[in-house]
Amino acid sequence: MLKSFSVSALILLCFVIFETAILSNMLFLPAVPDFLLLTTLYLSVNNGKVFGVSSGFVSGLFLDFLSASPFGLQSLLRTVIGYCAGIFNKTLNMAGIFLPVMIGFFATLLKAILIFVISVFFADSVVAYSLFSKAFLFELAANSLLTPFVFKFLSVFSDLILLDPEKVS
Amino acid sequence: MASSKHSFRFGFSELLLLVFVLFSGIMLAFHSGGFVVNFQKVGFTVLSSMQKGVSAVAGGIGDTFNAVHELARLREENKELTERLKNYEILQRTNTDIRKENERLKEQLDFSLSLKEKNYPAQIISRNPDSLYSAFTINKGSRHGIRKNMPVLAVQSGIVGLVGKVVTVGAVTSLVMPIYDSKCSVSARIQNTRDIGLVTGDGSADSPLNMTYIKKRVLNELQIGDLVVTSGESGNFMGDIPIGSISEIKVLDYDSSLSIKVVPVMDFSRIEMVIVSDLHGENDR
Repeated sequence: MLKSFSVSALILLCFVIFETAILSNMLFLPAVPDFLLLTTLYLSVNNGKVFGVSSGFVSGLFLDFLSASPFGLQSLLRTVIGYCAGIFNKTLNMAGIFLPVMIGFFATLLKAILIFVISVFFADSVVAYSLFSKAFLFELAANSLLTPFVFKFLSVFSDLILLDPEKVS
Repeated sequence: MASSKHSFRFGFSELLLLVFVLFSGIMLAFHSGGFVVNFQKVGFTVLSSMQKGVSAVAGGIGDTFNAVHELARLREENKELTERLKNYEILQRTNTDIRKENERLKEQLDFSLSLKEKNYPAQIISRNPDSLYSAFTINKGSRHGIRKNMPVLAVQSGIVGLVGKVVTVGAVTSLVMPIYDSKCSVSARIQNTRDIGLVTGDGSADSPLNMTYIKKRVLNELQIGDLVVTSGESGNFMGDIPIGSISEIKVLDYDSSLSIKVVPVMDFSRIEMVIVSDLHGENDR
């Protein structure tokens, strides 16, 4: 478990650097695809709730350090998403295209809903998504369409990041 | 009664969820407060240093590829030039690019020298990954003299404008909140009438800024296109730095103040270099 978690954290770190140092500078993109969210989804659905919560928290922490969002927002958000995705462990087939697209789509929607809920409690500092804004719709589409590719890419490291299904709780 | 197969059980994953949610929630709740250890600052320093490294490597790789590509192109050109001096136009274009870059840097340098305050030219190395918040990271940090809340300016096509302020300082990088961020507010003045108001962002670089607290009685004196500059009264920004120009004036029945839209003088999508100014230090260059 420790090895899988360490490698997963390293992959998350690479993705956060890729997102912030390279993708965010591509100003023609209305929003940056959330590769960390997709990676968390892959890890959670395959490795279960414990792994999902932990990887969600770590990915959120990385983003909290590097983004302008209030510290704690991303880790709170992604911890909950990791847990929710972990519930579907052993029930979802990650192969193919349709289901990953759906997973990416609903996870991005869940992210927007959770941010809205958090913004109710922290109205001064947390900004909620505008669901029909160009940025959110682009992120929703990009996340959905990229999910199968990210899952395929992560499956290359499956020996390093996935736990033995027998040991997953 | 036998428990259902899908009944909820508080296991290790739920405990972990609770711990992490509590931790994140507490961090979020105390975000504006002052812990002895500023986790965000520590994390920002560590990760943004890596970010800077990757940015430099990515830039380096890009430059190397460009250099190799350029070399190949120059060889071709040289061959052809020796024969017929055909590609003179391409060389001229390159020359124009370099001249333009020189002009930009000279503009920046001239402005940097003209400032009374001590200032630090910096390059933008990354931008905020999510679309909810706006910020960018610059390649100068506390080691170079940058401190929190320092104003950030830029020069674009000979026009000086306010960009934002420093909100987080790492050792070698800093996070800058632009004036269009929804959390950013700047004490500003309409240059012609000298009325003071507050300029706030709308969260998007494409949307105009909002200026509030300008009384309705000055409506007749205002004109579309009037320049809005920093007031210099809050102590966070120097005075008379252009922020934008008035693009729309609305009279709201229920408000004693006008609702004014301001288009920033800076084109934020084109900013590459900025100048961080230290209001408490004198320019010794």
